Amino acid sequence: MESKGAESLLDSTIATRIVLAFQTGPAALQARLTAPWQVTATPSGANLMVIFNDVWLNQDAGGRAAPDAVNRYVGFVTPAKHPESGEEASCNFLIFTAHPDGLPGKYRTARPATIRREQEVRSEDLTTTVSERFTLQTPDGGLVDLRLKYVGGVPTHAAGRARVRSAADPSILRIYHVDQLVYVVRDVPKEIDRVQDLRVDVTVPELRDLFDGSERLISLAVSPWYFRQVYGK
Amino acid sequence: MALLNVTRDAKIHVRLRANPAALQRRLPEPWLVTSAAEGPHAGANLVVIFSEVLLRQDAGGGQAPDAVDLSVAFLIPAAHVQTQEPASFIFRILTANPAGVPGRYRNSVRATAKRLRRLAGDGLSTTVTDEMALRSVDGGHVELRLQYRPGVPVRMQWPTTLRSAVDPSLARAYHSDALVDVVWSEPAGIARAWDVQFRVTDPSLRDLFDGTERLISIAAIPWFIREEFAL
Repeated sequence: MESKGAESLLDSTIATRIVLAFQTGPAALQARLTAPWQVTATPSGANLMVIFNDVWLNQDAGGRAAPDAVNRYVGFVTPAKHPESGEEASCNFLIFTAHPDGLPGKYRTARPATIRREQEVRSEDLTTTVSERFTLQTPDGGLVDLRLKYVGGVPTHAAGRARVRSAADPSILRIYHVDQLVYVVRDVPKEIDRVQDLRVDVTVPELRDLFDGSERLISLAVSPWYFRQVYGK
Repeated sequence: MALLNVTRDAKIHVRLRANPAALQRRLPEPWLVTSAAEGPHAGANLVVIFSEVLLRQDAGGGQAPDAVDLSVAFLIPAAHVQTQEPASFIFRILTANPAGVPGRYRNSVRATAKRLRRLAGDGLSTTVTDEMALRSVDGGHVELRLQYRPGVPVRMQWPTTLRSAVDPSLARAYHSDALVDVVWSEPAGIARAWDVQFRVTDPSLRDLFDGTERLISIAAIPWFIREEFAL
C-alpha cells in the first residue's frame, strides 16, 4: 500500500466535477460545525462550496473497484479553522449520493437522493459549447437543480493538496492529493464570465437557511478531468 | 528519455480487421503487421483513435501550441521481424488544430471537425450518444456515431512505442494511464453499444476501407493521461 509520511493511501477517485462557490450567512454554516471549528472564507469571500460529482471510478487502496465504483453525488463543504491549533481544513457537512454504498459515506454525512445528469457537448473545430443539467431530489421532495451553459476553452492544470474533515466528526481527516484540469466559467472578483445560461434552484428544506436568497455566487469552475488520491490514518 | 509533452484527453478507440496486405504496404521493412491473439480486441490489425484533447502541455508545463484539439489517428500494430519489438505505426492523422500539422509524425492533415456528445444519467445508469466527424482538406472524411451504456471502466497503465510510417526513425515512448470501457467487442461478446455507424471515405485509405474491413471492438476512454518521451 502506498504511503506518504505517516499517512497511507485510502482510496482514489477519477471523476468530472462542477464546483460552485457561494458566499452565504456564516452563522448558518457555523451551526453545522462541531466546536471549536470556526467558519472562514476563501480570499474571494466564498464560504460554501457545492460540488457536483460524476464519478467514473472509485478505487480502494489496492486499486480495486470500490463498492460505489461509479456514482453521482453532490457535496457541501465550508472552509474552517481550528482556533487553537490554527489548522485550516475544508469541512464536509453534507453529501447527497445516488449510490446506496455511499451511505453514510466517508464523512458520515451522506444522505440518499435521486440524481439526474444531462450533458451536451457541442464542438466545432476548436470551439466548444457545453450544456449541463444536474438535478438531485431528496426523499422529502427537496430539489437542487443546476442548469448551466457555457463556452469552453483551454483549462489550466492544477495539482495540490487539501485537508478535508467531517463536520459531523472532525476526527475524520482525509488528505486529498489532487491532479486536475480546471476551467473557470465564472469568477466574479476576477471578472471572468463565460456563462451563457445559469440557474441554480435549491429547495431542500435543510438547506433553506443557506439558500435564503441572500447567498451570492462567487465563482463556478468545471473540472473535465479530475484525479485524486486520498491519504489518511 | 526526455519528456516532450503531457496530454490529458478523452478518446474512443475503434479496432478493425482490415486487409493485411494493404496495411503491410504502409509499413517500412523490417516491420510486420500484428494483431492481438486473444482478448476483446483479438484479430484487430487497425486502430482508429478519436481524441478530444482537453490539454496538452509541453515538458515545462506550459500550453503546447496544439493545447486543445479534435483529431482522428490511424495506427497499425506491428512487430520488428528480428527483435519482435512491438510498436504502433501512425500513418495518418486528421486534426482540427492547425498547429498540429504536419505534426510530430509528419503525416497530419488539417481537417474541419464536429463533435456532439450527449450524456443522460439517471441515478447510476447512463446513456451516451457520441457523434464525431472530421473532413480533411485533402478529401478525407471520417465519421463515427454510436450510443452506449457505460460500464465500470478498468484503469490501465501501459507503455507503448509509436513510430511514424512516413519516417520510422520518428519514434516516441508513451506512458499512458487511462480508464478503459470496452463497450462493444465481437470476440468478447460485449454489446453495450448500439446504432454504431463508422464510415471512412478517404481516397488515401480506399484499400483499407473497401467494404471487407470488419469491426472488432470499440472502447470508450473518458479519462486519459499520456506522457510522451523522445526515444
